[in-house]
Amino acid sequence: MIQTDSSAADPAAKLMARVAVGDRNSFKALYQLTSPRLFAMCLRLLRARELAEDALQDAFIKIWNSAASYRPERGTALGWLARIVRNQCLDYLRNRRVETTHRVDPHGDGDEDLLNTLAAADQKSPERLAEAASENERLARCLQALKSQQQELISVAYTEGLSHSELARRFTLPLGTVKTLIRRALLSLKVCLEGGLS
Amino acid sequence: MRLSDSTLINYLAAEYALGTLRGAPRQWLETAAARNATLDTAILRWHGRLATLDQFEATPAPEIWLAIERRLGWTPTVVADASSFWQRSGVWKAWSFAATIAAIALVIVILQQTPSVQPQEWRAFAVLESPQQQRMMVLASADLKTLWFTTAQPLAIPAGKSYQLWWIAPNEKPVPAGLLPGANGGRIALQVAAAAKSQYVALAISVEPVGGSPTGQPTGAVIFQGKLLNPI
Repeated sequence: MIQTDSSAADPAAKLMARVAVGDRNSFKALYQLTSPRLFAMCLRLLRARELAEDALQDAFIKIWNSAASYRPERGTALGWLARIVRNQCLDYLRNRRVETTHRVDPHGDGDEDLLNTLAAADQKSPERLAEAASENERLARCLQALKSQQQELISVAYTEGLSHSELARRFTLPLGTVKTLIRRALLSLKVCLEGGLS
Repeated sequence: MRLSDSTLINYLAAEYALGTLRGAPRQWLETAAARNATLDTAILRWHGRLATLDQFEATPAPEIWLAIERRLGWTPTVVADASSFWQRSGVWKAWSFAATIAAIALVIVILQQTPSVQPQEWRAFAVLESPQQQRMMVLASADLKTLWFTTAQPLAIPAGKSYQLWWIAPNEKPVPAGLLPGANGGRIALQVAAAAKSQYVALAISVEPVGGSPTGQPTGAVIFQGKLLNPI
C-alpha cells in the first residue's frame, strides 16, 4: 500500500503537530479547518442541533487533550479527528436512543433549522473543492462500483449511525443478510480504494 | 480472539469506523487498538476513508468555539462579568425611549438563520437582559456587519407585533437597527449594512407594531436591553 498520509500534503496534520505541543492558535486553526465537516457528521448522526453542538464541543476538548497521541504515519489527521468526533457522537446517540421520542424522523418534516443547515452545507469553498476533486472522483467511482443496495446500506449506516439490527429493520432484510452485505461492501470498497492507489 | 489475519483486522476496523460494530466487541477492539499498531492504523485509515467519502459541511455556530475556549479556561466568562458590570453601572436608566424623531442611520437586512458558511472571527458583543432576567447573548462578526443573537428559549413574537432592535448612544435618540425575525431554535442573525458607529454604547429591543415603529422611535415596551461589552 502506498502511504498517502504524509503530513506534507495534509494541512490538518501540520496543525496537529503544533497542537500537540500546546499551540492554541494552531488549535483554533485546526477547528476552523475541520469543524464544518465534523459538525455536519454530528448533525446527521444526532439529528438535533444542540446535541450535535455538545458532542462537537466534548470531542474538541478531547482532541486538545490527546493531540500528542496522534501518529501521522498511521493515518490522516482527518481520520484521527473523525474517529474522536464520531465516537463521541455515537456515544451520545446510544444514550439518546433510550429516549427515542426526541429523535427527529430523518424522512419526516424534521427540524427545519437543521435541514436548513444541511441544505447550506453544500456551499463549499472553491479551494476545498479543487483540493478534494481528484480524491473524490476515485472515491465516487469506488462507491458507484458497489451494488446499489450495498451503497445505500453503507451510506445509511455511516450517516445515521445505525447498528446491524437497526439496518435490518430499516431495509426489511434478515440480520445475517445485512451483515454479509455490509462486510462485502466494505471489503470491495477497500480493494477498490487501494487498487486506485497502487 | 487473535489478530493475525489482516482481512479480519481490516473488516473489524471498517465496521468499527462505520459504527455497526457495537457493544462488547467494540470495547474489545478499542482496548486492542491501544496496544496493536496495525489495528490502530487500520481503524484510523477507515475513519479517514469514510470521512472523505462524506462531503457534507456545516459550519457550527460561532458560540461553539467560544464555549470550547471557556471550557479549556482560555477566556474569562464574559457573560457573568458583563452582567455585573451592567448592574453596577446603572447607565441604562438614562436612556429615554419616548422620543419621536426618526433617525434611520443603519439598514439591517435579515439574512438567514446561519450567519455564514465560511469560518469567521466572532466576538462577544453584548449581553441583553429582559426585565424577567432572561439573557440574550449577542455576538458580532469581526467586520461588525453581522450580529448573532442567542437566547436560551426561542423568542415567541406575539401575533400582530414585531421586535425591533435599537442602537443606543449617550444623550441621543435610539437609532432603529432592524426587526428581529421569529427565532428558530433561539438564534437570529442580522446583517448590518453599514458599520456600527463608535458612539453606540448599548442595544435594546422593543415591542412594536408589525413592520416596526411607525414613528421611528420606540413606542412599546423594552423587552431586552444591554450595554456593548467593548467599544466599537
